[in-house]
Amino acid sequence: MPPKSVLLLEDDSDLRMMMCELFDSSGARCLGVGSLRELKELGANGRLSFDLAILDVNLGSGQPSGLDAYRWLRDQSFAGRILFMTGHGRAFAGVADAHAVGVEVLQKPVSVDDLLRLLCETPGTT
Amino acid sequence: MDEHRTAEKARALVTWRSATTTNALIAIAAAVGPSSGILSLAGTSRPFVISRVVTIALAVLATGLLIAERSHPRLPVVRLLFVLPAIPVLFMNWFLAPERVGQGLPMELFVREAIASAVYALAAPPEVILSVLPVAAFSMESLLVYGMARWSHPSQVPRFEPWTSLIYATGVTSLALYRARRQQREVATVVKLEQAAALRRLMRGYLAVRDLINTPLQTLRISAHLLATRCPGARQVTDSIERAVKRLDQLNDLLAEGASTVEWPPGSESFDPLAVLRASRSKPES
Repeated sequence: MPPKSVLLLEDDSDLRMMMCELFDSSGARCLGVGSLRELKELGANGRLSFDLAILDVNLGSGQPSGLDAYRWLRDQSFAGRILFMTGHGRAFAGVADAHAVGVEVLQKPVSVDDLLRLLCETPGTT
Repeated sequence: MDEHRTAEKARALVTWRSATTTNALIAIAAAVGPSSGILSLAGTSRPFVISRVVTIALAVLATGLLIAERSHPRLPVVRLLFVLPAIPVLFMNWFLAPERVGQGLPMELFVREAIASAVYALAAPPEVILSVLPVAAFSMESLLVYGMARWSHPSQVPRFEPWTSLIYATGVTSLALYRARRQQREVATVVKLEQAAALRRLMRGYLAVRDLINTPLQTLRISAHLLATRCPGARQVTDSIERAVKRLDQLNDLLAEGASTVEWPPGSESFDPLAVLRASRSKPES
């Protein structure tokens, strides 16, 4: 069985690095990007095939949010599982709307066990 | 901002509006009255002319001061400027009555006092005493003029005076009470709106603080786990980190209760929490 692949959209470089380290050390393959622009570059290079996408919502002032990334991934017919990771639950209307149609929302800070459980629960598609 | 200061600010704003209205009306009435004839202010005696000039000058000066105070009106100042112009108006009316008799004109008892009382009642600020005092003064003036005229010019005194003037004064005082109550309600509404805005700013501040601490907390939690996995000998260190993270989690949970009530406008999900914090501390929400 091939390792699970994880796409992580997180603007904080330290957290991005630590989360990818965690997933990598658990046998998954993690790729971190810091913005929607970088995500679109991945798509342009045809590298948008992941089992799991974890999207931070607040990507910094003036930047497209994780919600924009979610909509873009949906437009690209992204086949993997998508989750939001935010410290604000469903305070954002867009996150609440996405949750209403089945998108999961992880409440930051997420426990390590819950993060690793995600890998087990995510079916391999790639 | 505490409730007392908010209420004082709201009272000052509402009183500012009353004072500006009153002063503008008094200045216009004293300036155009003699030529328009509406208020029958045609007088040429020195005391009348001086009191009229003082009335206009004071009302114009007060209006100028009020305009200067419009951004941050001070309650004692606007209260004083509301009441002060009534004094020269009293003198103006007092000097006009005998002069009209001298000119062979009817005294038109109580008309000017009645109009001035109505202006002060209609423009009543939240503190009703500020309106009732001038109304009482104008009513007293009416009674004094009546007391003198009933002996010197009995034919010019209307039939049912002073009772009509007293009934009128009672009615105008009731009007002042009603208007003051309306103004008090407006003050209460302004205070509630200001408190709601302050609460929203506080909740947004909570949300911003959570945003600032969540990411470092998440980083610490994963870092401690990775360190514990890779360096089992550092267990004491990683346990300390995890306990510290748990304590910070408690703060995070506390802030979450307040921040959960914040309504975030769609399209603003990416924000600078430091900018939100600065805004929540320094400026009122528009």
